[in-house]
Amino acid sequence: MVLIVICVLFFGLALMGMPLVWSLLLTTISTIWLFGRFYPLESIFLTYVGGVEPLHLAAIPLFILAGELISQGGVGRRLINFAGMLLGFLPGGLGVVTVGSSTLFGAISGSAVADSAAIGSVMIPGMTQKGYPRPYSAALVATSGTLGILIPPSIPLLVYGFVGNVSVAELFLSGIMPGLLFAACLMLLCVYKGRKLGCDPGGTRPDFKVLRTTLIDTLPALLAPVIILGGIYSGIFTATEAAAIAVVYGLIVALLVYRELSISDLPGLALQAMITSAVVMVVIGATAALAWLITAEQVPAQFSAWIAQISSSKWVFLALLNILLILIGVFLEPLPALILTAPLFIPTAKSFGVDPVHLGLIMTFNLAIGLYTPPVGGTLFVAARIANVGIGAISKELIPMFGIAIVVLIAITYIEAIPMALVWLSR
Amino acid sequence: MSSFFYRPKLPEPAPLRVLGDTVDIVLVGLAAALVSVMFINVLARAFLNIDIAWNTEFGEFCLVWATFVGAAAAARRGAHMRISELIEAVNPRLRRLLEIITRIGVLILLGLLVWRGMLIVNRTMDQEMSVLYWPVGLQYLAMPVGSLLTAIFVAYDTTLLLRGQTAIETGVEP
Repeated sequence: MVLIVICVLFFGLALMGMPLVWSLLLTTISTIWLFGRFYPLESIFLTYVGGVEPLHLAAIPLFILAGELISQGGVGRRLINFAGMLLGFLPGGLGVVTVGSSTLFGAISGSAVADSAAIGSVMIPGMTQKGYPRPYSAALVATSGTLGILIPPSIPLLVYGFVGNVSVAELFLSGIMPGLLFAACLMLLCVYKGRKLGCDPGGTRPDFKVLRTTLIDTLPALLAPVIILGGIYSGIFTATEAAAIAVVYGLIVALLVYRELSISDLPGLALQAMITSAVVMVVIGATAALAWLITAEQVPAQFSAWIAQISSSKWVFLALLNILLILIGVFLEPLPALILTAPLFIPTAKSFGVDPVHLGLIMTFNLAIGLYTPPVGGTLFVAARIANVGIGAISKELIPMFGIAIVVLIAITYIEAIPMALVWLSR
Repeated sequence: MSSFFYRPKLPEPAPLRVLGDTVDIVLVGLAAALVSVMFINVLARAFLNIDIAWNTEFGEFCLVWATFVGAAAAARRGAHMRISELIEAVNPRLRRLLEIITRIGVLILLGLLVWRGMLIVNRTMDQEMSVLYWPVGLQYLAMPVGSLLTAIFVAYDTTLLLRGQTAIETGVEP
């Protein structure tokens, strides 16, 4: 009953266009009043502040800032050069390079929109020049940009880890295989498309000398994931400390190595990153307040019992979960969707024997699909704007990519070893 | 520095502009403090194998303030996450009405946050942080202060809507 009232109030306010943070707080307060509960407002508000207090959450502003520094600092173009050298000779080579450089960029940045913007701004004009139809290039960039949140580091996985109290290092590990699998499938599509369109038959393999110069130029960019992920998995530092190191590394690469940013650019970048992060952080705080209420009212337990009534099978639960998430993903970006639903889904998933790490990866992959699902979505908008084409035209080109995404989603949902093998090895 | 500061198409009144710019400068300062504190922490732990005791408390202090002051800066730019598809689909008059109603709801909520937030602050002013010896209330002060700043920007936006103008360009459009 409480859950229904909460859902009605929240979606009522949110669909009227009220920002999520305030919809959540108003929902919490109104529910308490409606049910005549005597929870003091102060403890709700203390939970709101307390929700953003723990220092490990500093990883969120820091990874966002690192992402800004890296995408503005000339790293994207160099990764594209590098991927071009390695993969450009294939049929449909430019498409393959787009996917390849999005994957590399994903190993540095934790944001899908940043990935699509950085790679798309170079690759979409390049592909258009080669004769690819713009809607196809845009669809490819919108889809492969989501590799940014599958390949670690990943801001959504980080946030899920914090909200759900799940190991961030393990979540990051779980993203590697699904990310690579998705990238490989997209590359196959690119090769097929390249042959079919006939505009990009591929070229000759690059010679060793050129490869070496490109590698040296790209090395500072390629070292970033080695330092960040290597540091986390060798236990030298935590995910939050890794975020601080990523910022300093980003500063060094952008200011001193590639010199594509100057000191005077920094305040603007920092301001932008702080605003983006504050927007996410207050939603985390407000969700903490609502989560406090739903836990006090034992809603997660009731929700689990309710799902258990429908079916006691883990497989059915996972299927229902995926359908529900796809629907949520159409309306909400991955971050708010994860923050809002994780407190409800994690206890339920545990009762079905689903590992919280596996659940986090399923949720992230699933909600990432929402980023390029028309009519709205983060990477879809970025790609459409760069390519200067309408959402309708892109939608048609997106169909095979959706097909691939759904097949990969089913694979990572039901073949637990794909996301979890590396995690099991690390335990 | 002209590109650093936020200048909407419809110029803000001078006091609001100064307030907003101050908020932005404070945010950059907090970002610098947060990065430094976190990085020094890693260096100290990895190379000197020591934990700097005040680091966690100071870091959390910066994080809480950055969050609530940042929320005000986001409100000034209309940057808070929201679902705008539905209200963009309805007719302009209904949309304007909904935008005004939701903002009034938000203003009432922000009033509550400031009022009750100050009660929390007053009650925790005589508790001290365990390492820094700063009053705990100083950290919680971020919430009412940030909410008050947010309320100022939301109130300004509401007056624009009431006069039939829009200051905030909504979201990303293809």
